[in-house]
Amino acid sequence: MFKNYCKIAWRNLWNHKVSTIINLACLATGMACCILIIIHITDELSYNKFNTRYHDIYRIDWVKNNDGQITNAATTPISIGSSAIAEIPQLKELARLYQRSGAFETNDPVKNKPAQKKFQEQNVFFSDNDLFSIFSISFIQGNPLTALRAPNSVVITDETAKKYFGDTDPLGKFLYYDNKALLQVNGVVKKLPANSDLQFDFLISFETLFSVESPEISDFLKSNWTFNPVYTYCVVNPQNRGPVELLLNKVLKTHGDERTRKMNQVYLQPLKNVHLYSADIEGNPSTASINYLYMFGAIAFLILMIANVNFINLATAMAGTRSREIGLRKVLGADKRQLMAQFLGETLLLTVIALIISLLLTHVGLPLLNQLTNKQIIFQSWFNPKNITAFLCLFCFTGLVAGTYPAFFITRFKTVSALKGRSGETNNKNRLRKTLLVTQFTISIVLIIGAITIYQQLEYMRNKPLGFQKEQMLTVPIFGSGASSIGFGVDGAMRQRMNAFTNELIKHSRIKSVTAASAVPGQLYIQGLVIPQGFSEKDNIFVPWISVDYNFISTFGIPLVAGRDFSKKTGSDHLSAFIINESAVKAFGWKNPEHAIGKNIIRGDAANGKKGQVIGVVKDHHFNTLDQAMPSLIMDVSVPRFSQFAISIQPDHVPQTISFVKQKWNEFFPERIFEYSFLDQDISALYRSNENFSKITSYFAFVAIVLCCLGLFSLSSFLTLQRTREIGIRKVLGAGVRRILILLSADFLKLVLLSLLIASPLAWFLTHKWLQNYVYRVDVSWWVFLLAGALALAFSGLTVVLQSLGAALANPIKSLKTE
Amino acid sequence: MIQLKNLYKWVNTGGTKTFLLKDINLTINAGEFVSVMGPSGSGKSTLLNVIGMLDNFDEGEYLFMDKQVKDLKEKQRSELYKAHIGFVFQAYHLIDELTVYENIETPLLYQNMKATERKAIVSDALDRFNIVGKKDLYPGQLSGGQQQLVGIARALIAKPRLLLADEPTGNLNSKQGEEIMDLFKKINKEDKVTIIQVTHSEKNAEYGSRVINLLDGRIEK
Repeated sequence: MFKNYCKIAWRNLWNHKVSTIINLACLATGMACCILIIIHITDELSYNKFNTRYHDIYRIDWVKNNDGQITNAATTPISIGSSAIAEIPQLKELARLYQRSGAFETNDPVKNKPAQKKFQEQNVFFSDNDLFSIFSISFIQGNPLTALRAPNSVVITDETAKKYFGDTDPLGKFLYYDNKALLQVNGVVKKLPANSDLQFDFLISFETLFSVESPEISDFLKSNWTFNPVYTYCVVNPQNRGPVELLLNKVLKTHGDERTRKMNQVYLQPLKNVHLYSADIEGNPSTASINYLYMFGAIAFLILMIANVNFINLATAMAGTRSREIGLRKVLGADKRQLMAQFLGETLLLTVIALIISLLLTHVGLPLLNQLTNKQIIFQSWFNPKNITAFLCLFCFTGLVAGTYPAFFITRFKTVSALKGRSGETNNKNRLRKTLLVTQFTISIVLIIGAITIYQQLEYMRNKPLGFQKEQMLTVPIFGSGASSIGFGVDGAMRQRMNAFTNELIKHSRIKSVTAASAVPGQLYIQGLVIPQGFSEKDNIFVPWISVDYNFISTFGIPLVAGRDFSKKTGSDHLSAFIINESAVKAFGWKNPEHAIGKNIIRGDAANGKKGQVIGVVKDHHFNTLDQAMPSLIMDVSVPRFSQFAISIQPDHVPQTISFVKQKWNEFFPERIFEYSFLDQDISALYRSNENFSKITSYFAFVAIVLCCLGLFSLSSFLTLQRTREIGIRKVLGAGVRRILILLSADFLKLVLLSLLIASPLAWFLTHKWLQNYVYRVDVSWWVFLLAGALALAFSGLTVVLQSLGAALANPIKSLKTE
Repeated sequence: MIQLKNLYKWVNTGGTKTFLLKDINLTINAGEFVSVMGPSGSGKSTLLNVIGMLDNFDEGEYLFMDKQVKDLKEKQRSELYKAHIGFVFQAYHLIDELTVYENIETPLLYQNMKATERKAIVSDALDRFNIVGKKDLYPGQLSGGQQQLVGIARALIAKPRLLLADEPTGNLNSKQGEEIMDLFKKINKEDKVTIIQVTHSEKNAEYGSRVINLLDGRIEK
């Protein structure tokens, strides 16, 4: 029996090649989209779960209440960790992680040979030894209990070991860190899996941090309760979470200074929330959000539905041509159940083939997915029990959804009329088909409108004038990329070398200007305490603060609206001059920019802060991403904070200019690694996740509309076939080709128009809601709806008209001869 | 075997009843070979469909092997005709996607018979109807007469007690027609299968033991 079903199913599929191919293409594409998204979702859900203490690991998060404006951060001050472990008995294990990039070189202190390998490294953390008992980090060499106990010890990953030491035994070898500390390799661990939010290449014992940073900064780090540079992980029994949180806040209140008591709080963030529920937390290692997963899941589901609807429509339309067979089988003794089994069997066979094709498609599509999501998922590694289950569910779901209705529909035919070749198609049936078609097109149109709007927003952000020059701007980090943002690294000697370097550079004809700063637009500006005239320290005003060289404002082309630029000539600008932006003028309650000139400002606390006056006001410019408003800004000239050069160059012969800069760099800073990047590229990289999101929606919108049209294509071809006789009669009665085309297409096109009507408000609502995420955004414009409608109409119209043309042109004698 | 008493069947067209079958009283005994004749639209096929339980009737009684057909549920009815009735059609109605062998085998599939048993029965039938050589061909590759032969073989495969034939020779030339009718006669005689055939041809009607004439849904006396 089963064999017989398979045989018939196979022959039926074979005999209707075109519709089989279309059905397969639709189902396989739908399933491939689903599989890809399932891969993505299961991967996202698997994050951090490899840790055996997954449910007990918490991160201490930091709450900043800046005048009612609450920010949560993933990092805390250093002090809280040390106090907490000492004073809270429920806390047995706690590890702080302080990220500090720097150059590493292989170095043998005994032979004192010149470095053989030297690289700038980003994934460098100063860490407490407890990290190894909190996270499941497996040691290849060394002892997890003591590896980071001794100062100046370093633990590296197997990959890093290979990079620096090749095949030789790394244990006990030395690495020279950032021209500052000689570290001994005390352990080699396996690199953490890709689905870990904690990622590192080097771990250095935490105490070493204080010998690397200058004594001044070390004291600041040890005692400060506002600056929050470290991730603090600890193990807490989930039942103790509440009490421990209370105790942590108590520690904060007892030890913290007055400002901390007033402004800050801490809470425990479970590790299981770090990957998908913490994207809006400052400094969180993951920007993924569960909402995006829901959205992808919904899109996958919708695409699969579109494919299924195609199948249902086509199967029921084809039922007419198979009604004779069905009637006959009934006469020969088949009961409904057996017929249902036969038709479901056909669907399942089709689904199996579609599934195999979709796996091939998945194999092809995976690199694209990896590119869009910045992952390295390998196809083979994807076969695990969980995914296989998901994939079987998908298969059953598709087969059942696609097969059940047609099977019911077909087996309901009345035997006698079915034998005469009539399918007993009623209006009822047509209504269902129309509903399904409208649903399909509504989904596609919503996706098209969504994709266009997202693209528009992205283009808008890319092209919006930011208020400063970002093109042909080369940035060169002084202490390596990713260097600590608290700075104070430039001493007098360094400043002299920097000046010499600058003077040498501007001699080059294609270098327009060279400046230095603590940060450039697009990077995170540190928030500094500011006491403007008329306020007191108790007001706790924190404002983004950068320190710049004298020619920074002119190099970046930021317009001055009042007062003057920094100038070397006055001789005191580096001691007592501030420039603020228009927003700051407003925030400080001063009437207008002119009014602000000469006002007193203290940058820092009242006792030790830098006291000075406002000498100028610049126009507001976007140093943040465009999803945020333009906040206040304060600039001063504070050389020790400088962390990078910004070099404005001519647009021609860029490679030569860069190699010139590099050559000079090596001359003046032989101990440092030359790195550079282009500011405009850095800024557009900030929008990469938006860009990927935009790409993903466009791909899916495209797939959706193609699937819809494929479905429409096969459906209209069948309906046209069914109406061959009617068309023949109409032609004999004198209908022209045009009228017949209109007759055949009008029904479909009306449905597409109806879909547009339904989709428009829906799409408007969704895109409007999404755009609320951006402070600077495009308006949803009416022409997008028109365009989406026109696209859908054009695609579907073309499909239907091409189909109908054959029928309209055919000789009526032929079509009337049938029967 | 079959008893029809005051049987009516009608359709409603625009408020008035149009009678397809009117007051049919008919008894057919086991082993008879009955021919139903009448002009187009006289209700021949409708009567055959009602007897074959493919169609319902509106009034009256129908006893098939002493069972009230009207009282039977869809499922029981289908069990009944599955076991006892075979159909032969004017247009053969073979399944185009199946070979001769598979076409003949299909009714047995629906009786949940074992594969080995099925094979034996189908081979027997192929033998008997002299179509062994054609068993792997598809209907489209056969002549009309051969297709009808397959149709008859299929109708008889489940050993029915009653064979219903709706103009079995209507699409055949006279020579093929004669062969089929001879076959019917043989089946009736040798296998004791009751046959009811609908026909237009006087000549074919004579093969039967009794002729029933229909006109406008009534049996002409």
